[in-house]
Amino acid sequence: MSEPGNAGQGSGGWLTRASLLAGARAMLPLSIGAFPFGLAYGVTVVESSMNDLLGVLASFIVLAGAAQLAVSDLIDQGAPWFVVVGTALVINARFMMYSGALAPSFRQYPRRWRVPLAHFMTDQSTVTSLLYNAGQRDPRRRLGYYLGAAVSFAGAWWLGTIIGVVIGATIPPEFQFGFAAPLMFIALAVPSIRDRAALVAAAVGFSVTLMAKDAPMNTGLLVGAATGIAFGLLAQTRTERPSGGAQVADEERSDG
Amino acid sequence: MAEQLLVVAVVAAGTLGLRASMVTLLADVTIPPRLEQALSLVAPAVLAGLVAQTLFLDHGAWRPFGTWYLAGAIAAMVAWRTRSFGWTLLAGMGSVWFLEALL
Repeated sequence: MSEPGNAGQGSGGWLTRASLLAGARAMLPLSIGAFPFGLAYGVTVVESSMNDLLGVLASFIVLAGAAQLAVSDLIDQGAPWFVVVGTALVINARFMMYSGALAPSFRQYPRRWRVPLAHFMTDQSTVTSLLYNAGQRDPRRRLGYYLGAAVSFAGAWWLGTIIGVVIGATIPPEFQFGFAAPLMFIALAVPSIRDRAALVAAAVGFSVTLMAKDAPMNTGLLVGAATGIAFGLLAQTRTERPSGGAQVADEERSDG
Repeated sequence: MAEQLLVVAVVAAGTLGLRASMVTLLADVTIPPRLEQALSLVAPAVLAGLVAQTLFLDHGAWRPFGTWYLAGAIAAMVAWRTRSFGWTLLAGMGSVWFLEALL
């Protein structure tokens, strides 16, 4: 893997056009998916009582689809500000995990780059970069690839949002664009279920959110999510235990 | 509007804090395994809750049974089989339009 990659050597040689393009190219299928979802989010904002421009601004400064949709939904329902903020930050707590996963590569980058680069961290850019980093040790290549992937993906999200907000008001209700919000969550939720613990967390989170629908101040989702995570952890502990098979079998026998 | 702006600003600042946490301030700290497990469960728990809230509820009340439920089920099956954003979106919007026209 030693293509020349010396075009556009700006910023002290940290960025090469080749690595930027490689990242953007690898991300393309996901960016194509981000565009209609951005569009759907934009339309949702127009249909909610959230300010349209603020909805667009959120795409730039929050840059997290699930949290943004929840914010516009909760604002529309008239939830108190701390519930909106709390819910959004719980949704985005997963970025802490991604941050930990990307930290080994970020440690190789110049310090001033780290926070701006972190802003573009998404589910998609993290996964794509981690896959690339596994087979690429050169920090310059890694940085360019991450930047190319993450910013092109964000660009598709921004473009979708802006167009969605602009055309949102002109879309007739028969188009059922409101359905895009639950649809987006389905498309994100289902692939996140990778093992039994995640399945338990999802099933409990789903059911408890519905059961807690009349919880005060729209805290139903927070209650549901917290319960789901707790039960998922429990399920994980139970599946981890069979390290000594005979012992577990004995325990199970004495339980019954 | 001012309150909405404040909410978005605080969410943005908090989110940047979460994203930057481990790559800057805590670069030398490793996440305890238990916390990492909990964080890995945030996505499925929260996203499933969001599906429940937006598909089955409408402003906190039950959404009457109809095309959204069916299209949601179809989309979930497509998402499970393909694990693809694009196909899920196409299947979901396609079936909601088809069912609306049909029913």
